[in-house]
Amino acid sequence: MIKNIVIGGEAGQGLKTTAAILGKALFKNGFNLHTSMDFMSRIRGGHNFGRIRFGDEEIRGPQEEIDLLVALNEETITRHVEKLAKDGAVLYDEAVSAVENSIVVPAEEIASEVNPKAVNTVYVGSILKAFGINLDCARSVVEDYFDAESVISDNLKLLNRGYEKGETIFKAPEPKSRTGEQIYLNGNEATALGALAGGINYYSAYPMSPSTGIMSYIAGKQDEMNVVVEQAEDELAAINMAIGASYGGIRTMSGTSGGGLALMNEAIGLAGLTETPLVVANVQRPGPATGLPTRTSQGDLLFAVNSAQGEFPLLITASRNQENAFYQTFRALNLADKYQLPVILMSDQFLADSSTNVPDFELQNLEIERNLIAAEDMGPDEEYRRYEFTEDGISPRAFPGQLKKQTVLADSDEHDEKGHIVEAADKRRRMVDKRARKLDRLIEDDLAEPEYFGPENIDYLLVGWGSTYGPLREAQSRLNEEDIKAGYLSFTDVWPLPTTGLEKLADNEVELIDVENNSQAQFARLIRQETGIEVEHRILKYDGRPFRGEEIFRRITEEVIQ
Amino acid sequence: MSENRGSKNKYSPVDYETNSSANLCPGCGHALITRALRQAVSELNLPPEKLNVVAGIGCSGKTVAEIKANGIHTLHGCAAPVAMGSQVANPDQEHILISGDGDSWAIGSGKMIALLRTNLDLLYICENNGTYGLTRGQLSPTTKIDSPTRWGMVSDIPPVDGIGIAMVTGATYVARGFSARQELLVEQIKGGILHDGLAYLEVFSPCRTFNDHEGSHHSYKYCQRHAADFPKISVNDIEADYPSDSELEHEFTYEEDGRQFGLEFDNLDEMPEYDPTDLNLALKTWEDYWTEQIIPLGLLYIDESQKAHHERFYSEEDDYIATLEPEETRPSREDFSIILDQFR
Repeated sequence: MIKNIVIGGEAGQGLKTTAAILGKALFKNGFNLHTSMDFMSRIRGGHNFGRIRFGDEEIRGPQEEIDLLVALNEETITRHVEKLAKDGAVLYDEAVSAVENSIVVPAEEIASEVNPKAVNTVYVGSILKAFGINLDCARSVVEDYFDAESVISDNLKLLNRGYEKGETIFKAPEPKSRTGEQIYLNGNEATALGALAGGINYYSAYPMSPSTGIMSYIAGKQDEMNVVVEQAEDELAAINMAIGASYGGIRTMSGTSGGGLALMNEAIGLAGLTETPLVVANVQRPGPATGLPTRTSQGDLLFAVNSAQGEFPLLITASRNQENAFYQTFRALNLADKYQLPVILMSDQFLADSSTNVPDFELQNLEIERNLIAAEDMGPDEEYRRYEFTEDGISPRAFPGQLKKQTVLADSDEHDEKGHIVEAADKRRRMVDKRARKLDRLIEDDLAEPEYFGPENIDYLLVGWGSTYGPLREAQSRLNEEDIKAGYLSFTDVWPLPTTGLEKLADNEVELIDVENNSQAQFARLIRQETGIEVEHRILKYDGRPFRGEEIFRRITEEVIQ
Repeated sequence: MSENRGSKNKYSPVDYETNSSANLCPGCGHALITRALRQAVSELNLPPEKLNVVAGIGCSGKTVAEIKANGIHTLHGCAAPVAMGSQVANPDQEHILISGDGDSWAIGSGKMIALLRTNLDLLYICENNGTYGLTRGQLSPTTKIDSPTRWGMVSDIPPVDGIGIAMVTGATYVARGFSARQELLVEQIKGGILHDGLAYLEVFSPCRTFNDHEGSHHSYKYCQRHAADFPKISVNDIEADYPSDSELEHEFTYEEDGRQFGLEFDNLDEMPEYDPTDLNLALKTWEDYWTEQIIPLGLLYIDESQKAHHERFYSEEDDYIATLEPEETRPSREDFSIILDQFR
């Protein structure tokens, strides 16, 4: 059983705190859950809401139908009531005549007697009561969430009051299906943790929604994790700082959203030409220009693929969910070091701001591989050459000061093996070929083929990349339930495009359906460019909102299968 | 200055030469700055592997090819952030940024302000020739109003005052040099390297090909004619250059690889009104000269009391990240598991 709660209100009403406390309390109760946020780009007013889906089955994304609508203001009711399930309920501070089940909790009045600022905790109590979930877990969350003793005690009081005033109208799902140790976190936190586990010592960025969460999480761990966080004056500086620190010998990362990636573009080429390892997280939002700052999109794919002028090896990989974001980030740092190239790590607002429970990270299999030259690899009279020609194009890498009596020269002009500027035609050609060989090696040894989900024999193949994974898995299951033979191919590495898995599945009998959060079917275009395969059907969404599994299922049945 | 100067040095300027060329024009001021730089680092006895030269784009940036050192040639206007990253990775090295007037004060002006605010421990050499040499002689942000280009183009907006901006924005060592005054320049470079903070050294460096003509305010002749002496410094190895009973008082002393260096002013007695540690006075005096089109050469301002940027991250006991074994730089699995507790 899965239940869906929507909590709506104005910006500034503390929605984020409410969702965070409630989500964590449900998590601690042992449920699976998925919490996603829908924010306007403003600090006060407007309409914001959070969706919390929880239950005893696997949950991979948001859903449309609402079981419990929690209204912090009246507008929430008018906006969402039409999505209320038949036996759904509304929780509000006065009776709502339009719906059958109305839970009345005068939260403001209750809070005013204790601490008016903590009004939302009243709702948390009443929501848990609505499902008959006891308060123990919520109490421990409140104790962890706030610092001051008096604030904690006020919130605990209000949690109880909310519980007392509320009423139980749903049967709660049984929290029994979760196996093993789990953690509850959002995509930005998972990316930040992957970076920390990957041993970064430097993170430079400029705040830009929806990527800022990565920087703020790492900034909070600077001392514990031995990281310098530099809030640069803009993205140009941020990426060049990261390149400087990486050239200087330490692991670095930067993060931004599309507009920032546009500013960073020239320097991505600098990392490419100087062969400086660099990982940049691009947490997409709808562009171009300022676009929709707090909403979601997969519109930067071809822009990222075509980063910077000229030609150089580049890896683009996308995280499919919160768990994957952790491991992808870790892997991206290793691959950047191994192949000495820039890696763009694609995420988006949907993944970044949504929280879910995932299996505790398995740290024992993670090995940081810097791939630096060892002192004993140098001959006694050998002069170090930063861009030494090798069979696979990967030159032994040293950083300044690493090798005794050796200097390291990196150049953004075309250069010879030692890093000195050259213009000779043959030298240029050899250097271009050397850099290109690195990518050949990467494709051979490290490129990740897409993962396939579905039955062996299929009529339809859904293809998607990155964070649409959750909704697509749900849609594919729904199709199978309706006896529609559909499989799903989930890409993480998108550039260079891995083609083997796709070419194997995409035979003439199978109809391909591209599902993407953009308006130009960019991934389908990339597939055609790289394989000649034409993806005939497109399910596109570009209103700034994430897909829901049910929505993909419905659109496929309406638009593809007639 | 003692005659046995430099006798303890293991390095001579030749040790910093490369067999690569920046392909500068004959008589280029930039080449003379490179020469002074080699002289300065040899007098400080700095091994090439201890130097890190971050270069911008333009004729100035190309000089990195002629300096045997660690180095990275960056993007136009972006040398400052690259230097910031590499300096924080390893403050043990001596970081020198070489840029030009366009790279610093046109395309790089935003980066410049941000850098100056940080007091990064770095010597910033701005090779100012008042023109865009590599693109064949256009107006630069430092081109003076009455100074036509070789092609007759005249700037009708006032030039950027790099020295003034550096002083008000946070540089803690601000000096003006001239490529044709080698001795002065060598001392200014040495002082800037030893200084613990951001040293901004703007060097008047005439472009023989595009900006050395009659009427130019950036020609050798113009600068010779308009130069005025300002506080001159010398930077010397205390043990090697002075007899042990010397009573000379050093304004500032520095330690570099076990050697003590002293910075002293050579001519302050000739300018009793001036105090290079007084920011307001330095600014006021500079602005007066600026208006009168006089080119003061010397160390205009110095403040050794400010924290350098990396001292905000590193304590005195800390080893710099790039000097640690990789294992020491990353969290243990146990430590990492503790931060995951927050999510459990």
